[in-house]
Amino acid sequence: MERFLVNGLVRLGTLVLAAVLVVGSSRPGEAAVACTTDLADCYLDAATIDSFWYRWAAGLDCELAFIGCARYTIMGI
Amino acid sequence: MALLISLLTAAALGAPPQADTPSLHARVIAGDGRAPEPVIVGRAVCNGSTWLLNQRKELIAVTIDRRRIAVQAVSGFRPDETPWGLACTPDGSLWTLATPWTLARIRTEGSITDRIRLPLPRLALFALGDRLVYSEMPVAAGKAVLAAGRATPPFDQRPWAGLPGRAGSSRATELTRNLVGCGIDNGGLLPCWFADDDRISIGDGKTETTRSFAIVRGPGVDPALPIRDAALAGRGRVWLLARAARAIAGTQPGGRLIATNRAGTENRGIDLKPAARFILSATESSCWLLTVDGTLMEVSVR
Repeated sequence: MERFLVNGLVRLGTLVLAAVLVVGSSRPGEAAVACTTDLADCYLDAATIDSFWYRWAAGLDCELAFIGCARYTIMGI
Repeated sequence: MALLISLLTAAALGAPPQADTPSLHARVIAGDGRAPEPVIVGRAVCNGSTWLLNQRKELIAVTIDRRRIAVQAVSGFRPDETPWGLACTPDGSLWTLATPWTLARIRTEGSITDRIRLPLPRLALFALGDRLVYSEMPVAAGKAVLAAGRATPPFDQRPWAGLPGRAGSSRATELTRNLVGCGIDNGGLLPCWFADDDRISIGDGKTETTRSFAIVRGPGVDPALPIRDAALAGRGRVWLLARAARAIAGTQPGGRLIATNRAGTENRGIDLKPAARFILSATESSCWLLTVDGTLMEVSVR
């Protein structure tokens, strides 16, 4: 029961985080709006993973993919 | 009357407004070869050459003295790898992040010879002397964005002075606000900046000076991402490539080059036609650029 509650709270937190990601974006984030949307979607997928550590690793992968997208958009030429 | 006197005194004592003196001259050089179009993911300068790595996993060697651009495919990348960053160490080794977790050594002949698994994922890669300079996860407000260390284990990693991590209103904003670029070093000093800022931290990793180069801003320059590239040269020359506000083929190249000093008080600028992708090399009196057409351009101080 306790584990169920913890998992539920972590997932809820991730959902809230994903929502904040989209709402809170600003320049230079504006240059990477598509990247931000992908990050939010990726967080949502990561939130469905049961294992805490696998979920954490998936969240990290989401951020690495986001940075790869954003730096390509902003820094690449 | 007192007001008039104080106004006249202030006008007499005050520095004259900085004029944009037409003292830079640009010329496109018809050299041997042309840089291909794909996005350049890293630039390194060493041993008389400037090296570029592009998204198509091609290594581009630019030899300014010979006006030569040579392109070769890099063998050894895995299909799922999307390299980012390029750094050169004094032994002539080129380094890139094959993935955020993998540092790869590239021979100048165009093959990967070593792969090093990193303890933490890295996001950007530069070099100063024999040390690699990089940003890595986790990105957090207040934590130094850059660190420096040896290329191979033990990395002997140390935080890089300057550029403390910045907070954002969301995680996405925090990550983008901490995207960092570094330019061409000189005299043991490396210029680095946040992508959305006009301040540049110039330092050696232990000590640094951060100064605003607001002169980079102006008509035609993207106010949100003003600095495209920078280079230190000579006794105090700073070359700034300002990012064009208008995109060309979906990217924003450098539309204006400014020659200034480390205090940011000198201001000589020139609009670039064609626009430039990167600074390739710089001295006190001249700056070499790679244009969006893949050609070389020299800008000289006159």
